[in-house]
Amino acid sequence: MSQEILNIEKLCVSIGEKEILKGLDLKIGEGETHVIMGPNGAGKSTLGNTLMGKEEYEVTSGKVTFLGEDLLEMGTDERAKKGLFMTFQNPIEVPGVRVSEFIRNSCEALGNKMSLWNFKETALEQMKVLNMDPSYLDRELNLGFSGGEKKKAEIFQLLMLKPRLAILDETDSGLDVDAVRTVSEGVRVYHERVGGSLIIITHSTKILESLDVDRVHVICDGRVVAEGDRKLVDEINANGFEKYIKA
Amino acid sequence: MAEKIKINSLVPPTWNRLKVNDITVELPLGSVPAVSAAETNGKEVDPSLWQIETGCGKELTDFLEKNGTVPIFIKTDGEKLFSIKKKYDKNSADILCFEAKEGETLNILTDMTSEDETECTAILKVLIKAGKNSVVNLSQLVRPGKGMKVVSDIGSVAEEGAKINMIQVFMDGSDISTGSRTALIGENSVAENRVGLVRTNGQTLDMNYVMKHLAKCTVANIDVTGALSKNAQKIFRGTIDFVSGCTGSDGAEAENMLLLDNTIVNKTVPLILCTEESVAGAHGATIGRPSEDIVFYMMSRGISKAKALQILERASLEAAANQIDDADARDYVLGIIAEKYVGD
Repeated sequence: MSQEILNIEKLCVSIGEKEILKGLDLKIGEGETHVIMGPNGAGKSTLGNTLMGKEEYEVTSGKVTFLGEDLLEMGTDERAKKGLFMTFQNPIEVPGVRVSEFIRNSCEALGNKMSLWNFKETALEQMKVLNMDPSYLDRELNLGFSGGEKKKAEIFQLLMLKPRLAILDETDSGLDVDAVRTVSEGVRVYHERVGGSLIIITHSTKILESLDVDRVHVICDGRVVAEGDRKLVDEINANGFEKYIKA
Repeated sequence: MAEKIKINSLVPPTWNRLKVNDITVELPLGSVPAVSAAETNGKEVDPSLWQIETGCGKELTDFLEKNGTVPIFIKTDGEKLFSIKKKYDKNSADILCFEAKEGETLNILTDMTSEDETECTAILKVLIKAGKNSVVNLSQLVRPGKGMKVVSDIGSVAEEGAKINMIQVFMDGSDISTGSRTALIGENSVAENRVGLVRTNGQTLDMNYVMKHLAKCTVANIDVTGALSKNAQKIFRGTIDFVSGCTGSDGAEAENMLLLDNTIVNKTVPLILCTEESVAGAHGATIGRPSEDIVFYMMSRGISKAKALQILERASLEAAANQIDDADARDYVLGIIAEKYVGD
C-alpha cells in the first residue's frame, strides 16, 4: 500500500440507541481507489457521514486518523480544510445561494482564493468535463435541479475543491446510463489531475468502468466482512450479498 | 422640536398586550426636503390631488403636512430607470409622486443611506398611481448608518390591468419603520411586495403591508425574506383585505425568516380580511433556525458555521434583489449587497 492517508480502527457508531457500525476497520493509501459495497442498511452511508462529522452520528469507540491526525477531534469544516470531501447521496438545496458564490466561498475557505475572473475560467473548464451549461453557475444551489444535475454539481465541486480524499456516497444512484458515464468521467479526471484518494460507496458498477479500483470492501451489519480486488465486484454482481449476510 | 405619532396601525387591532397594533415614532418637525423638484425635473403639486392612503397611515400624512412637506410629482423618461440615491446628513422629509399613464412602464429606484456618525431622521413617502395596463417597478434600498432613523412609506393605486412590483431591501444599520398600502381598484390589477431584510445588533424593523382588493380578479402577493440576529426586533404586519365585490381575487402572503440565534424578537401578524366569498387567500410562514442539513452541507465544503450563517443572511437580501425587473436597478442593488459582504 502507498503512504497511508486514512486509518480507521474498530470504529463503532450509533444513531440514538441503535448501533450501526460495530468495529469497522479500513485503511486507505494516498491516491488509492477503494470501493465500499454492501446491502441496504449495512452502514455504508453511516461511514461517510461519520467521517465527515455529522452530529447525529455518535462515535462510541474506535479511532480514525486522517493524514496522521485524529479526525474525530476535528469539526466538519476543519475536516474539509484538511482535505476530506464527501458527495452527498441527496445533495442539499440551499435557497438563495448561487452555485458560483457557494463554490467560490468554499475555495476561499480551503485556502484557494481566486479573483472572479480566475474563478470563472477555472469553473468553466471543469464544467466542460461534466457537460454542464455555464448558466448553472448562476442558479441557486441544487434548487430545482434534477437528480442528475445535483450529482453533477457534486462532482463539479469535487473538481473545484481538489480534496486529498473524496467519499462518493452513491453518486451514481438514480442516474441514467449517460449521466453515470459523465459523472464517472468527472471522477476519473479528478483522480488523474489531482491524484486524490477515493472511497466509492456504490450499489452499481457502472461508475467504476473508467476507474482503476485498488481494493473492494464488503460491509455487512456494520463490519467489513470481505475484501478483495476488483474481481470481488464481479462476484457480488453475479451472486449478491447473500453469503456475506449469512456469514 | 419633535412630535410623537402612531404609525403602521393594524386594522382591526388585536390584543394590546401583544404590542403589535402600531408603533409610536418620534419625528422631528422642521425636516427639510432631501430631494428637490429641480434635480428631478419634478414639480410641486397640490397634496389634495395625491390623497392616497399609505401603509404608515394618516398620522404620518398629517405630520408631513404640519411639517410643510410639499409633494413633488416626478415625470420619468419612459421606461428609463429613474434613480434617487441619497446620503442623508440632516433631518429630511420627502413626498415623491409618480404616475404611469395607460400602458406605460415606470422603473424607479430609491437608495437611502448615511454615514454611521450622522444623527438624523429620514422620512420618504412614495405615492404611485398606476393607470390602466401600466407597470410600475419600484425598488427601494434602505441602508442607514448607525445614527439614522428611517421611515419609509408607500401608497399606491392600481387601475384595470395595472401591475405594481415593489421590492424593498433593508440592510442592517439602524431602526427602520416601513409601511405600504396598495389599493387594487381596477379589475385584473396585480401587486407584488417583495422584501429582503437583515436586522442585527438590536436594530428594529417595523413593517405594515396592506393589499386591498377592491375589484374583480385582482392578485396580490407579499413575500418577506430575512435574517435576524443579536437582539434584533422585527414586526411584520401583512394584511390582505378582500372587499365585497372583488370576486375571483387571489391574495397571498409568505414569510421566510431565519433566526440566526435565540436573542431576537420576531413578531408576525398575518391578517386576511374577507367580506367576499369567491376569493382565495393564503398565508405561509417558515420561521426558525437555519436547517442543520444546510449548515452541515456548507461546513462539509470547509465553510465555517459563522460564515455559513453569513452566506444565508446575504442570500435573504439577494432573494429579493434578484426579483428586480430592471437590470440596472438589480445590478446596482446586488452590487451594494456584495460590497457590504466583501471581506466580512
